[in-house]
Amino acid sequence: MKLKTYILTRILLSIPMILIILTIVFFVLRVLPGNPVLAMLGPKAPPEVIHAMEHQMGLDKPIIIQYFVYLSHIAVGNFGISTYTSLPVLQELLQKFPATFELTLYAMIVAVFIGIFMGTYAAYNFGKPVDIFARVYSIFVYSFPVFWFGIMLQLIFGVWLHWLPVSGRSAPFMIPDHIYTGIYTIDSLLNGEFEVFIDTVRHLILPSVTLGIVISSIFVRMVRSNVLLSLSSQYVTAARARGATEKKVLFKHALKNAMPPILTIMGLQFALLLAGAILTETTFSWPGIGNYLITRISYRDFPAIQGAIVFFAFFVSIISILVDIINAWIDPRIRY
Amino acid sequence: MINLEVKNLNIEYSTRNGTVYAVKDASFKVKTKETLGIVGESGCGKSTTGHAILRLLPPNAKIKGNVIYNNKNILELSNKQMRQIRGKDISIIFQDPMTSLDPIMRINEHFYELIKAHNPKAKEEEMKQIAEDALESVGVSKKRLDNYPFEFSGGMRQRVMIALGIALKPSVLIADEPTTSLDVVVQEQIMSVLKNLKQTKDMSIILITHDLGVVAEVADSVVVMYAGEVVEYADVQNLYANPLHPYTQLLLKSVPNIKIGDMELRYIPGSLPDLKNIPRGCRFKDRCPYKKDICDKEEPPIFNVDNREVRCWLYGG
Amino acid sequence: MISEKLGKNIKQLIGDSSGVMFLIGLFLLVIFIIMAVFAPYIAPYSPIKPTGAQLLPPQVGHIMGTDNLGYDVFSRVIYGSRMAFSIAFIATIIAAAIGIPTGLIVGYVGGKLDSVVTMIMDSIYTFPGLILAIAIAAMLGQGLINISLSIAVVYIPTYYRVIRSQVATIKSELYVEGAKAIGAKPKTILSKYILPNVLPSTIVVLSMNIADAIMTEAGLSFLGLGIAPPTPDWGYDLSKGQQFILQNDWWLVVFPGLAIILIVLGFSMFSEGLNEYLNPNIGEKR
Repeated sequence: MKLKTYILTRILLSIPMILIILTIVFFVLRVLPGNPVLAMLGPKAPPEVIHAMEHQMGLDKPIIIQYFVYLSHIAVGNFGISTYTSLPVLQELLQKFPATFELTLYAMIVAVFIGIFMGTYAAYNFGKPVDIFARVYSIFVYSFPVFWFGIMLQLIFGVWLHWLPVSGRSAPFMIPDHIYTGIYTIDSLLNGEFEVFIDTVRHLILPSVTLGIVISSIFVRMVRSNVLLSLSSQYVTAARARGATEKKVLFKHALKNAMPPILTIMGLQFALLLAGAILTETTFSWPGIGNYLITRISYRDFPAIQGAIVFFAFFVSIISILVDIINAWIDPRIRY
Repeated sequence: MINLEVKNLNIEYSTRNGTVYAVKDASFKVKTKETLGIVGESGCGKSTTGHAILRLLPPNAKIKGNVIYNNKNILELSNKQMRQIRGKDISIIFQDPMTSLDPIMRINEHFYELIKAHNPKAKEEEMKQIAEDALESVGVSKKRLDNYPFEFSGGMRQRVMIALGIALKPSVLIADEPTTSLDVVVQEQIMSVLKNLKQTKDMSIILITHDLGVVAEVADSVVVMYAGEVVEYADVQNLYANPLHPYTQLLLKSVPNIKIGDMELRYIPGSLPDLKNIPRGCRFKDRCPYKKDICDKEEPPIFNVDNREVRCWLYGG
Repeated sequence: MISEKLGKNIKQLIGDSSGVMFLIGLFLLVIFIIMAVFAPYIAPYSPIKPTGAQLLPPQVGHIMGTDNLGYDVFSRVIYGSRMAFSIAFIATIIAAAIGIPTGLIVGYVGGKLDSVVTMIMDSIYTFPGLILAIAIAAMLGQGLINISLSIAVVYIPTYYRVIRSQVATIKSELYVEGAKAIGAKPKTILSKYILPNVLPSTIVVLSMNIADAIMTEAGLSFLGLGIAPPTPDWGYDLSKGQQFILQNDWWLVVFPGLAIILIVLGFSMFSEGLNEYLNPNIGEKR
């Protein structure tokens, strides 16, 4: 199968899954609490206000109709109006998204970097100290609650050593002049604003390292076991027999062949990454969608809550499609 | 002229359950254009010997002895020097073509890796030419250079392996059970590829197999191994016409003869000794029909009989 | 003698690396179980009454210090184990009670039902569990059962998948066909032949699940969606304690955090070791 066909098929396959998640979200947010308006306004609100709100939110119509209205709104990008800020929810989400994206991007980079290098060297040195360290590392770090780890790093690097800021995305006024992508590290460089760049990086380090290290525990273990498997295969010996250097054997043959299952795991870990991102954003007061979700929950801002969760659902699906496509590109056997 | 000489090769593996003495005191030579067959049953150490020549054994293996190529003991070379030899002076092809090619690399990339490992400055056209010539000499269409390994059948993959093995015109090609995992028809094809190579190239071939028929077809001389030792070493005609070692005799007798109808299958009773716990005396003693008292007490050395070598107390001592 | 055999088994376990892990895990679990069960006898003070001055650092009388309301941190850590265990156990049991039978039945019936249900389960499984739990907890509100339910929903697909895939394989095995051939009813086949063969693998899943559930619960209460104060809860204590790290009141966060780490570690090592014992890895070559 050509790559293009695979891409198309993969995208088509994801539609039912997104629908299922959207339905579940609908069920949880509308059906479960019984009356979300009551949850929002409190039990002491006068009945006329409750009815008016219900009408405005279309909650007085039968559930089925509400469901299709809900789906059709999402399809055109209408995520409703926030009851807290009166702004369109989608607008708020898009404004906050780059912060979450930047955090998860760098956290992923940290996790992949640690995972691949520690995992590969551990596999190559099976049984030796490096290997034992890697195994202990992955078990220990996996048990760290990401929020606790973040607080510890805040304590050590912020309070004790005074090296790094403990919260927020930037110091006051240290935002790039021109926003191109919303990713401050890129935008500040594009603008040539070096101090902004440094400030952004200083704020990014603790949150992304926190999340990255915790996620890396899974990667280290996956990479290690997959590389162990491919190192013991015949084609590795055959490559050595052709005069390949150990470095080539390790990276070009063993690691590369170990990648497809690793990539799949990476894709699955993305869900974990996002969950961790919510906790990390809360720990570091990072102004992303995770923080948005949690704060709006405390304000009972129902459209915002729904919007954020739907947004997450789409985000996860898109990433998982991308990962599958990259996998198929690397390993041609998958396309068949 | 002698291309490769193996002298007193000893290989040990240290494992969780003790030391395995895989090969003891193996010695043989290969001349230019000569095909040497190494035969024996599974576990006798023939594959290990083949791998050891190119130092491709796992790290828990200890190799001692001399493997002399170009007047040097290549067991003592540095890793870098060894890498230069692999694939260029001495090549090896493996038993299972399904798993010997990197599944996510195209065939031409396999060749380029091989060539670049020995000539980092090689140009694309040169490399393509070498690859095409190699494929041609094994009967694979050069149009398939762009294919992935999974697009080939087992027999074709083995041919590709052979092509990779001879591409840089090595002096010695080690073929480790090249036909074992292939069906008989494909086996024939591969054997004719090897026979063709034998005639057209100047190289020596070391053919490792448990198939006595294959050896009879292609080999000029034969080493018979049992439980890690060389028990007989002779040229192919003499070995088949007049096997000296009891093991060889029993092996040859156990090959069923299609001309004799309704024949009972003969076999060698008993089983291989435990290589972690080698008993005293001759390793074959428990299965040998001619066992003498001395066989229980002392290991027989190699005896020279008529320009041949036998490790058996029947011929000396 | 029993003690002799036990000693020999333990020795064998210690020699093996997975055995060491199993033992350490077991040891940690036992400590926490004792902590939870005998909390009133181990904790020096009540965890929900001020028993000292506020924000005292660790000292004699309050070995883990006190928090901003004067509660003894050590007592809160001890009692917190009760919350961790109860929610994790309840959530896991609910998830297993729904996931396992569903997996059994759907796996056995197969066909369209299988495709539909599996697709639903897969969608839930690949969606970030914490987010789902947050959504449900936000809507259901606080309370032990509510939170347990929120967490349970996240793990139902885990059990479903494990059971279903095994059932799908087993049902085509010869002995099941044999049972069908002698006219056994589906209910009998499921309970007598299939269930006993799939249950062993669920033990490991259960154990790892509990570890996960504890983490999720801690996360939920850290985010303010967990048990209402003043009930001792490690996650909640961490979020309250974070406010005071700028004053270097480190004991408020270090100890509850260590508790979470150690109990999760305990369950993880226990399940790892158990897994290696039940499904030994064929020795890895180099």
